Amino acid sequence: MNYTKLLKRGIIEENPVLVQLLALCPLLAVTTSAINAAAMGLSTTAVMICACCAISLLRRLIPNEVRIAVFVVIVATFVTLLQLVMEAYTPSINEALGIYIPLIVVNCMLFARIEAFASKNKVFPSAVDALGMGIGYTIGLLTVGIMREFFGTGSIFGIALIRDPSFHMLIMVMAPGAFFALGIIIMIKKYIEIKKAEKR
Amino acid sequence: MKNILIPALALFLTTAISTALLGIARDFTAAPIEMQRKKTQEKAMNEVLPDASAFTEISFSPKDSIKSITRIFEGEKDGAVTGYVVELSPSGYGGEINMVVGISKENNLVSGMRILNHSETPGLGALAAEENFYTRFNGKKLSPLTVVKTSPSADNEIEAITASTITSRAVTNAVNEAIEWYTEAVK
Repeated sequence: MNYTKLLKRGIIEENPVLVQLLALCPLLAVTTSAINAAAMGLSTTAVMICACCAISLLRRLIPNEVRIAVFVVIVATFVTLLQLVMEAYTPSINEALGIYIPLIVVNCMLFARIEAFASKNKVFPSAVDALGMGIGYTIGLLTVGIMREFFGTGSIFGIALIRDPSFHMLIMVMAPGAFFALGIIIMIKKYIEIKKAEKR
Repeated sequence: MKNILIPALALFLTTAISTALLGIARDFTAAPIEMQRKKTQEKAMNEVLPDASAFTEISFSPKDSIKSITRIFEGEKDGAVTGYVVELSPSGYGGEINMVVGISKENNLVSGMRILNHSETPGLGALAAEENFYTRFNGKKLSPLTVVKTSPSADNEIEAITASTITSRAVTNAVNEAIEWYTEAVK
């Protein structure tokens, strides 16, 4: 098993946000600022790695008829653990992400990886797959977040770069802006890939 | 029978182990979480009643018309009572809203409102926790406030958050309860 290839797959070829267009609801909501996007991406990655490892370890013990219910309980447990830890030790991020932390439970990307990979493979490959998808997800969220924050408020990661309010396009921090930003970033990614393929 | 027992056992074990793990985690994190809650509470109390340096909880006589009030604190500075912070938990759209209202004794006005905890809809009712909404209560006189959907034309009118009338009303009614308690118990 080529682990580098497995890792790359989640980041580039099958990026959950930029290619598979999964988990768009949290994308809309938390990419209003780059730091929230990063926090969400990292939180989801942490949950995904833990859940995929746990499910991979138990894959031979989970009866097929109840597998979805068991997956949900396991994912929900890890998300609740994350929530408790964040509420206790990182309250500002907890407040910023708010209701979107518990919503990680219903993030379809998690179940897609569990169903397609973790429930059928060994622990280490499952962890690598989850990590790759998580990194891809975080990169997807971050690029959209940076774009929305910059064009919407003139700052990146809270550091004001362009203070002139006439530059700030308010629509970028609202829902349509998320779609605009996502579309443009997918376009840029595709362009780079097509150019690279042409060179060969 | 066996093909019902085994899945049932798997489900039982999964939920039992998960619950045990969560119970342990809760015990570990209970103290820091409580500390964070106290910090947010204190910060909010200082924001809604700026001219008070110490807060002491006082007792109050519960009544039906002020049933959202959970605790009341007396704020004092340099030995004199400067105002009160009323903590309330009204029912909002998505659940309970934990909030505090400051009433200044010197000016006999509402000195501030802050929301500590809520489950309102993000982007709609959740905007009640933001500066744009909570500052609408600053300096209001101690008479019942009403929620209006357009720009307020009278001093006792509060503009609702667009498409979040239920949340806006819940918060405003809570402020009214604080006002009612103050006018009966203190003035």
